[in-house]
Amino acid sequence: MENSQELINVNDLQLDFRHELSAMINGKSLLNCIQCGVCSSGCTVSEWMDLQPHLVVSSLLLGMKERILSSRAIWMCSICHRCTERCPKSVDYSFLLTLLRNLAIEEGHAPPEYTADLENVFSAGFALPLHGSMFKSVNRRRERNGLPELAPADVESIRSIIQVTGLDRCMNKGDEQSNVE
Amino acid sequence: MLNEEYALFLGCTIPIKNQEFEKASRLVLGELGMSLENMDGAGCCPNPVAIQSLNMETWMALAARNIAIAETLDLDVLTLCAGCFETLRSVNHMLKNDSKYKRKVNEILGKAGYEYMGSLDVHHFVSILSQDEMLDKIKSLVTRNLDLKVSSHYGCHLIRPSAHMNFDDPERPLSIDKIMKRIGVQTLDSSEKMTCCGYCARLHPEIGQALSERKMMELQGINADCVVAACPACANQLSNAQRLHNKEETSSSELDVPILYVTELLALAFGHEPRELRMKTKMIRPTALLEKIAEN
Repeated sequence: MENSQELINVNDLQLDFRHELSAMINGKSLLNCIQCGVCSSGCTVSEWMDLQPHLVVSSLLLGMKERILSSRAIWMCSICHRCTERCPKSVDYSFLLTLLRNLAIEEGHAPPEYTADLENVFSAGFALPLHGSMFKSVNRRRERNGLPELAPADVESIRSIIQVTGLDRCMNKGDEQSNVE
Repeated sequence: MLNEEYALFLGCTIPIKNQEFEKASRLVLGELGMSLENMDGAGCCPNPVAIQSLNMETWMALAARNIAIAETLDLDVLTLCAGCFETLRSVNHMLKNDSKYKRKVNEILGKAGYEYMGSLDVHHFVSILSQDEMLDKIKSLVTRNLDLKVSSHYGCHLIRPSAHMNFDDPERPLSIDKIMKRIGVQTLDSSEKMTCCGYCARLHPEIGQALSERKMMELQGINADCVVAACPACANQLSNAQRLHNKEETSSSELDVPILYVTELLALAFGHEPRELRMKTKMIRPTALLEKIAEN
């Protein structure tokens, strides 16, 4: 690692971060880590990672919250779950990583690829774009393929859930007009 | 005894983009005696990577809403996609085992006019078809001898995390291989068999491209007639990576391994014609495979 010589000032650490994270849903397993490195040895994307999974965990335990939340490492994972599967201490790393992504997004780091999916879901209920006449053309193609009509999603309830959970703030263009026709 | 009736959860990619997978699945599952109810009002599962990464609570509540639709039908959920399977099965498992989160999710759902009870189970067609009772039925319906060698691609989200998915071994799965063997198809083992397609690292597409290309090179090298998949995201990624590889001027060899869905191979074995299954619309055309089938 390039920065292995860097000194860390203990005053910059958020020592209680381990408790913040472990209090989140399914977050408790973080505290079991023994730094054996099994997660990193089996990681699908380790050759691309700037920070291997076991080092992400040790950084978290040290309280390096900002460094991890702004790192590239948390966005490279393919969520193959091999780390979680193999951990001898039952640390659910792939789930913890998703919690870290949630926290990074709260700090404003939402990737546009993901918010595009959210905007599609908000617009017509599906992750693929279905605005304007697209819904009709999908159903015409389904008819030609001998498939039953695709029913529209209950968009109103889906929007309500996105709003009640506060995720609508991540959307650039929550356009309520362009939905199922 | 397995159920005969299921609530069919279509998701997004299959009914919109990969209708050929839905077509083959409906044909095969119907012939195996399963009846499938539509889940009107259902939407995105939602996506176990994008939406879950954005907000765990939104992900759980949207998934619980979909499950609640099946609960009004009083039927277990059947999915055709490994991504939908992971979301719905995981959320169902988590909410059934955590009354605090179940209450929280129901507060959110209540405002949207739904209630999640936790009264049913979620399945993928592979988790149903790989059970002994179904394997025997599958064998009894075979009318066409497929003399093929295939490589099973399980897809990470079909089998992991095993604490939630829990129907096959998370590292050495056998379910798809078992199904293939019952229709007389030989399955190949290789060092790349369990390699992830990499699609879900999609913020860095070079990762998926490298993983898929490496995998497909090895499978072409061991003369696999096709890959057999159970997730539309994996199937599209493995096809697209070959297309991109072939477009690259620096590529020394052409990759040409078609990706078929588990149910497409079953439909061929049950006697359906490639034309009916729109086999020629695939990105990597299964030309050699279809010639092989026509010879039998």
